[in-house]
Amino acid sequence: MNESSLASRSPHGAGTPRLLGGLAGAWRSLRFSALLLVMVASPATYTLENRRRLATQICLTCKQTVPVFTLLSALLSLVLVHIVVVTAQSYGLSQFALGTVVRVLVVELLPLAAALFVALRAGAAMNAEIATLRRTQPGAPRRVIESALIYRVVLPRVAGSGVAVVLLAAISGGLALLLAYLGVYGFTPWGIANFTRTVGQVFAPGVLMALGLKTLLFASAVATVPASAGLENPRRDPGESVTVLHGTVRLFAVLIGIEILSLTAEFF
Amino acid sequence: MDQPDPPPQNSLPEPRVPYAELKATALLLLIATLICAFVVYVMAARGVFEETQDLVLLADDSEGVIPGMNLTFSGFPIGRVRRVELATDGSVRILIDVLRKDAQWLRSTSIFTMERSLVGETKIRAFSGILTDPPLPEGAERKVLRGDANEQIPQVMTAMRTLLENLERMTAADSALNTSLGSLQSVTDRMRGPHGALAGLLGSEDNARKLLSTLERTNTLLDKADKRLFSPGGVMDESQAAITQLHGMLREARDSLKKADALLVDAQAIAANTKDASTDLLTLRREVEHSLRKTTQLIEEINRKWPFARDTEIRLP
Repeated sequence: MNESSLASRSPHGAGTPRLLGGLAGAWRSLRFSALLLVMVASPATYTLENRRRLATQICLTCKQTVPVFTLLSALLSLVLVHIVVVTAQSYGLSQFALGTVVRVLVVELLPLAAALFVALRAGAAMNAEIATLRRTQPGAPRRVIESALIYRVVLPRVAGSGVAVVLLAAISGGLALLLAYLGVYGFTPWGIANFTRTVGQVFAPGVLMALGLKTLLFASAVATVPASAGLENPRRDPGESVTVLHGTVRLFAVLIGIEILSLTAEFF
Repeated sequence: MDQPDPPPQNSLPEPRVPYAELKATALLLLIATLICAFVVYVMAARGVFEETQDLVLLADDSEGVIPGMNLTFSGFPIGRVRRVELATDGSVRILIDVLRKDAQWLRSTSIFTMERSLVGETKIRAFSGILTDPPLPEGAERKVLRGDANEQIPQVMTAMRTLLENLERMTAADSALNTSLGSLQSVTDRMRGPHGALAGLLGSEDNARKLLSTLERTNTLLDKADKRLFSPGGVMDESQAAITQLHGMLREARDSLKKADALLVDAQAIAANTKDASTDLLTLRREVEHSLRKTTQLIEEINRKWPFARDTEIRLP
């Protein structure tokens, strides 16, 4: 691992060695993310003290992200619903407006927006914090995992970010459905039957499964990729800002990859 | 892992949140509730909890038919496509779940159509003309009538091309329609003249003027003829008197002829006795000559009277 990393940073390194270095880094990050997820799912993690830390971090992350994102997503939903409804009406296709709004907002945009927001609001900070602490404990990542740093700092933040992504996606999705109903039918209860039927048509089992899986993958990526970037070997890191940048770029790449996979599975 | 290392000395200060575990549990419960509620809502929206009745529609093409699309009656969705499958004979079987509460609208005589428009999704519709017919049985199979706007496009294009060619031919500079319109315009121009439609019909103002003067002269002539014929002492009165006179003369001629007949009878008797009759022959001859003269006069009189009058005047060159 060290050799490949060193090769990737060699002044003569170009082309294939750099590609191999990138692949090795991605594999290392993926394996570390999987380890973190296993630790989050392991009951041994939830000792009394760790539970308190986890709960605290979940509350803090959600407090940082939920109010602002709810407001922003409501605003985004309102604007998009209005644009789609007005455009569809102008083309005489208003019967397709609701389905389009629900599909675009709830299935595609809002989960990605929630993941990006948590990544920017909490992920980058987590990356920087972990990188700072990692400098105090140099060594191989495996040894670091076994240290108290993981339980005290990394795991609570991983859980907090993951929970925040799922919570934001759920809240913003529900809010978008409500705003879509109000945007299309207004303040009347007589459109509920049609609305429900349209929602049922949009959320076929495959789409529902894709939405759930995509949200979980987003949450996992947002929770683990910045942490794994922060836990890179500090001897090879030039500084915290570069570490945060690497982690953010890697996270964006992973999120885009998940979104492309999701779209491919849904539409092809 | 059960005994983690002591924390490093330069670790970050741990934040404190009152009732953190309780709040985190509430958040997790909120997430679980939202997800469960959404899943249940979607299941209800897809009709998982509704009682349905099976209906199978047979079509020859399944293009545009997807599971989940609606079967509508009068614009209201009453059923949903559950599955589309290919039958053993190559036809398409569209399996539809009809809501039990809305199955009353489907009757044994109901007609099902599948319409594919240029824009938008395919629509499956049900039409029930007689709602008193027996209800549609469970699992009924019906043929679906297809109405595809796309299939009509080539025919429409051909008809449109023919129409455009005809239109082009009609609107050409030397077309019959243009010529007719030109003639019509000249006619209407003439109609705008002082003699109106008469000039338009007769071709020019002169012709119209001639016709009008002819009409006036005809009217004058008719007035004169009327006066000549029907005024007191006119031709009609004279004709009436001549006819009366003619009747009298005819009566006299008839009497004379009767006398002639009697004389002829007598002449026969005289012929038998020529000697005795020789004395009466002169008288008879005079009477016959007298009768013939009267007849000749009568004929001449008739010939002189209208309408048998002839121009007997001899004009010298």
